[in-house]
Amino acid sequence: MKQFRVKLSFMVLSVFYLTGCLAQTSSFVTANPLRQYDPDASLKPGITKRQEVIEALGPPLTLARQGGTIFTYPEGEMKQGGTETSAEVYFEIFRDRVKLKDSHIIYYYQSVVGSAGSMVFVAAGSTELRSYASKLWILMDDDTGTVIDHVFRPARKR
Amino acid sequence: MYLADFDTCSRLRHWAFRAVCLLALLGAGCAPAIPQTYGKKVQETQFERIVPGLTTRADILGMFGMPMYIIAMDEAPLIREGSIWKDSTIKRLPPYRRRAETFFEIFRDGNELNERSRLYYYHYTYSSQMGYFMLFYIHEIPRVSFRHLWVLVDEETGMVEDAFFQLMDRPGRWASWDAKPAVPDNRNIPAAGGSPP
Repeated sequence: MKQFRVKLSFMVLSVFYLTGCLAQTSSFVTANPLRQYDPDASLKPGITKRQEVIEALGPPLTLARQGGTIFTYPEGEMKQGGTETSAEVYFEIFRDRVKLKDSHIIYYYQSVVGSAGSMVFVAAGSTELRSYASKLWILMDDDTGTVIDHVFRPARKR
Repeated sequence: MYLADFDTCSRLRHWAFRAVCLLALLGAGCAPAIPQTYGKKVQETQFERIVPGLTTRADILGMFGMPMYIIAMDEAPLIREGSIWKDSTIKRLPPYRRRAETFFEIFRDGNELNERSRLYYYHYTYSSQMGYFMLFYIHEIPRVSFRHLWVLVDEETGMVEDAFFQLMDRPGRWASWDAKPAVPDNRNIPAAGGSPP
């Protein structure tokens, strides 16, 4: 009986190997300064200047002005396309926090982390892809070039 | 009879265990993928040679070649970033439209931006992947890095007004540099009330 069990387990392993059974995982992280940036510690309302933000994070992905339009991108690991939308969607985030003025602008940054896992078992397989985005909106006064407020939503597993 | 059976079984198990270990050892390893690159790689030392107010458009073209984009203020160029390794395959990053004003924000402080202002934008993407495998399991770690160079040029005079270089080497490593303006050379300026020799 024991001999049979050993043979069976060896055969099962061989079948797995020869039929290409495989478990595969991968992690995907785009190089982005936002991943190392602590907005709550770095962005001080009325003190932090536009140039400091640019030097730390580079140019914003989107720049929103009151009454203008912005390009938004589908959520995913890669930016693509660009749909023109009213900039008001970004200003709504700050509406209850700050008294908005015409001179206010918003810098938007994002950083995406993705992971994938796949499993192939004899003739069947499944794949799971996940991506999590960190998003940062910085409200600035265009006239003074200083930060007024910010909202940061770190990447969270859904 | 029972003892003989036990002996055979134990020997078989021993060999099976050895075979599995050997298979695991033979089937284990790591494999780097052929890196994918896109665009012109700008070096930090090359960037340091840009001096706003002294460097000209011709110098920039001589140093870095043709830019990927020459952008005016009111444009929305379609940005392409090449191909990267992802999920065991090479994937082309989809192009996306971006407002030029997001790039011009870099130079808003300390520069007079107008309709003559142009951005010479150089972009470089490097992507590689390392795969680790053992018997029935593979783990892949792709790596993508970017280098961006933006040079602000006055289209009429052909002079470089400012430049900004950003390096995103690994997810945890990045840096940015602002071009240093020329230090005014006042050695030949006569002292007040005097005259040059």
